[in-house]
Amino acid sequence: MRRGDKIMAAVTAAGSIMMIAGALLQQSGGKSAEGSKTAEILVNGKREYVVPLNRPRELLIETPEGFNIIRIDRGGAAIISADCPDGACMRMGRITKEGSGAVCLPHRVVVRIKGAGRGKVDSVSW
Amino acid sequence: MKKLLIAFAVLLFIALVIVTARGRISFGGKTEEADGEYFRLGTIVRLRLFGKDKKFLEGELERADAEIARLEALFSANAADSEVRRAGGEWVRVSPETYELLRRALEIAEETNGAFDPAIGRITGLWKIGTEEARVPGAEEIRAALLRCGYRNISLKEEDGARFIKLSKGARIDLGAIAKGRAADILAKKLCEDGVKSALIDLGGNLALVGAKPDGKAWRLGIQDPGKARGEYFGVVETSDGSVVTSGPYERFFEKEGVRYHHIFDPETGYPAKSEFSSVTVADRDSTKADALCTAFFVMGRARAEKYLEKHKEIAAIFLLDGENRILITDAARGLFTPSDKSFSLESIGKGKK
Repeated sequence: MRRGDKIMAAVTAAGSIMMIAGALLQQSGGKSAEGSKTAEILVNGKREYVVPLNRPRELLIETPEGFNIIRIDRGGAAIISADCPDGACMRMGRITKEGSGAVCLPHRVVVRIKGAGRGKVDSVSW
Repeated sequence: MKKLLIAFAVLLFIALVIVTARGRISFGGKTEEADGEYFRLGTIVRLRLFGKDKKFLEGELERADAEIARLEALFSANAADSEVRRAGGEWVRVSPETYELLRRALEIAEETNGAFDPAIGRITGLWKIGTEEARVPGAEEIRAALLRCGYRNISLKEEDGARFIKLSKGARIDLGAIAKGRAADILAKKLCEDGVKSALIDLGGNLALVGAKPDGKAWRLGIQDPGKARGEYFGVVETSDGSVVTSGPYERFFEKEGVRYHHIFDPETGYPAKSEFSSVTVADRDSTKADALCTAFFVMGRARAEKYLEKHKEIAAIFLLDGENRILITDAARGLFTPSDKSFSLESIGKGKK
């Protein structure tokens, strides 16, 4: 009996440890991957590109309404050039925070920062 | 030894129960998300729906987008065939949605003494800010247009269950400062009725919520720092089941000869409102009200907004003073808002003199 009790207790303990570890891992959202943020580029609601933020590059997005040039560098993204009428997308600056996005309404282009970890806020009111 | 082991096992089990009970993990199946982005209402719309049944959520997402498109066709000041644009000098029959939106708009216009004006269409139509044709109109043009503005130019009537609107001669409706709020309210109610328990509705930065987050916690909503890139915030509102709306001159504007002209007009002058605020946020269960009040407070400026808030202490509002790192906050907002930028000071507004 005594031996059975021990085994029982050991199994319960091991099981509980595994479940708690699993729960905490799920909670952290896989923090190990937090450094791997990406920029998602959507045109008219459709995802066209997903690019890592740690590799500098410039992307040309051409739509029927016009073009946007998106620069990716130093962990952020910015619309640096566009032939849209108001240029509001360029004024949105360089976005770095997870969940934030720069939008060109006339061209229907959205650049959004995505990450493996969870952002500190769920959305931003503007 | 045996007792120690058993005690250890029991403790671990209790810890597991606590972690589970806090909703951090779910044994009832994984939480699914359906996420969509659309260009509607003259802005970018983002919908995020959470639940257990992905197929159901995707269906809801499609229905929600169709509903926004339907509302846009009714409320838009730009689409020539919208109900709002068809309004004129004769009684025109309208949908219950348009009627209700105008009824609320007139109510808030009256309450804010015209600082929010749903009949400002002649002025917005002159400046055309946010379009390719944005320009600075002449002083005489503005003077003439102002004579056709004012919420009292809109009349409503109900007859045998049908609803009608009429405008005074030459007046024009523009619901740009309230329609997104109303659309958010209609959408949140519809999602709720359909059985969606958790959703985040983002209509161009006008945020509305259905329930709490899937893990049971309150949503954390940043408030845009007007001086920084999109997505950078100066504080966070934590709330469930409500709405958070922000207005500021930083979003839509154009520059001519070194002068910046923004899109929030003062119905008294016909020019972009000169305000001490660089950002106004209202958190309320009613997104229609939150949307219209943001604009009204911006137009009122500090002194008038302060007076209004002294009489309406239930309003949760957060203001950022232009060119200063000073936040003004009402008592009702204190429990919801936390500044995230330590360089900003926090002061009260709407308390009244003691």
